[in-house]
Amino acid sequence: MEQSEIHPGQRTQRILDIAAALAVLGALAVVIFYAPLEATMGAVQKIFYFHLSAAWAGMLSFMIAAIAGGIYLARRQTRWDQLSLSAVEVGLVLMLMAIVGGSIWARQAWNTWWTWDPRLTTVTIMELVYLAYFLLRQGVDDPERRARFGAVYAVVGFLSVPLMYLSIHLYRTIHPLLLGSSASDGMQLAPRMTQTLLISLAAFSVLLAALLYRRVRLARLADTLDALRQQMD
Amino acid sequence: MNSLPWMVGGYIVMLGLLVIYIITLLVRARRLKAAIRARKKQL
Amino acid sequence: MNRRPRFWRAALTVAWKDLLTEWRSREAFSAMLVFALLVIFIFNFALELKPAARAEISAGILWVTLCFAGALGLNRAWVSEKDRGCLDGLLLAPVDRAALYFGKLFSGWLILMLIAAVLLPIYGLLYNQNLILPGLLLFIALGVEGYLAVGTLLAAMAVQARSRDLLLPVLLFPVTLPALIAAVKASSTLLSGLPWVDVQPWLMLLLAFDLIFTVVAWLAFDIVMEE
Repeated sequence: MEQSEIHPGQRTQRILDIAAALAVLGALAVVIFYAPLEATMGAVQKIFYFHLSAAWAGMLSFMIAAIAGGIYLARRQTRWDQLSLSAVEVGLVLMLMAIVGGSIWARQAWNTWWTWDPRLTTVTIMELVYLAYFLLRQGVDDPERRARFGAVYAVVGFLSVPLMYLSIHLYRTIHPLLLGSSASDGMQLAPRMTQTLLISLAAFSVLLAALLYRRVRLARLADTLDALRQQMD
Repeated sequence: MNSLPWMVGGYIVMLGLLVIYIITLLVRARRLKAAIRARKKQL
Repeated sequence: MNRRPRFWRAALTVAWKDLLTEWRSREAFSAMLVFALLVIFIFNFALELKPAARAEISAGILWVTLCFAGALGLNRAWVSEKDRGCLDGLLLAPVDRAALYFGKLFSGWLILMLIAAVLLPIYGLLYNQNLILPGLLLFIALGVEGYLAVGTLLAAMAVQARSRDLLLPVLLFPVTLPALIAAVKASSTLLSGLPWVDVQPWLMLLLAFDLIFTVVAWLAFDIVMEE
C-alpha cells in the first residue's frame, strides 16, 4: 500500500512520542519539586539527574548499536544496519547532552568547565569513536560495504569501553585530580534523590525508545529513496 | 539558591539539544517523504 | 588436519613478502623514521624538558611518536597494496584471509619495532636519558602489538574508503587509547625507577587489550575483506 510505505508505524510512533514527552516532563517536575536540595552545591546539583540519565541512555544506545551491528553481520538484513546506524546517532545526541550538562554543572560547582573524571572522559572518547563511525560510513560508497564496515566498527568501538574505563580510572587513582573533584565521588544519595534518579532513568529509557523508533523510520525512508533513485537510473 | 540560574541554564541547554535534534529528525523526514513522492510521480 | 601448517606458513609468507618489499625500497621505513625523528625534535621545542619531568614526558613523547609513525606505516602498507592491485591478488590466493591478517600484523610489528630500536638510542643521546631498559622493551613490544592489531583491521577498512589517510588515525586513536595509556604509564613508571609491582596493573591491562583485540580483529578481518 502506498500509504503505509510513506507512513509506516505511525500509530506506534505517536504512542511512543506521547509517552516519552510525558515521561521526560514528568521526570523534570519530579526533579524540580520533589528532589531535595543538596547541601553544598545547591540547585545546580540537580543537573545530575538528567546528566546521568542521558549518559546512561547514550551508553545503552551504543550497546544496542553494537549488538545490532553484530546481528547484521550474522544475518545481513538491512533492518539491523538501520537500527545500528540509528542507535549510533541517537547515542551521540544523548551523550552530548550528558557531556554539556556535566560541564555546566562542573563550572558552577567546582569552577572548571572540565573534570578529567574517568566516567566523563570515557564518555567523551566514546563520543569521538562514534563520530568516527559516521566519518567511516561517509567515506564508503557501496551501501553493502558501508553497512558491513559500520557494523564491524560499532562492535570494535563498544568493546573498547571496559578497558577504556579501567585504564582511565587506574590512571586517575595514581594522578588525583588537581582541579575540582570527581562528580559523584563525594556525593551521597538521600533516598529521595535515588528515587528521582530512578524516575529520570526510566524517563530516558522511554525517550530512547521513541527516538530510536523515529530514527529507524527515517533510515527506512532514506533507503526507499535510494532504491527509487536506482530504479530510475 | 545562588546556583539556581545555573541549574536552569543547564536544563535549558540539555533539553534544547534534544529539541533541536528532534526538529532535525522531523525536517529530514519531511524532505525524504517529499522526494519520494516526487520520484513516484515520475514513475 | 593439514590446514594448520598451511595457515601459519601462509601468514609467514605474506609477512616475508612485505618485509622483502620494504627492504628493497625502504620507502616506508625511511619515511617513518624521518617523521619520528622530526616529531621528537618538535616536542623538544613544544615542551619544557626539565630533567625532573623527563621520565614522565619521555614515555609520552616516545609513544606519541610511535603512534604517528605507526599510522603512517599502516597507511602506506595498505595503500600501496590496493593501488598496485596486489590486494586482489592476495585475496584470490587459496589461503585463509586471516593468514593475510597475521602476516600483515607481523610485518608491521617488526618494522615498527625496528623504528623503535633506532629511536631509543637516538632519544637517549638527545636527552641524556637511557631508554634501553628490558622492561621498557617488553612494553614497547606489547603496546605496538595491540596498536597494530587494531590498526591492521582498521587500515584494511580505511583503504577501501575515501579520504583514507585522514580516516585511519581518526578511527584508530580513540579505540587504542586504553593500550596507549597502559603503555605510557608503564613506560614512565619504569623510567622513574619505581618497583615492578607498580607496573603490574598496566601489564595486565595491556595483555588483556592485546589478547581481546587481536582475536576480535582476526575474526573481523575476514568480514572486512569480503568480495
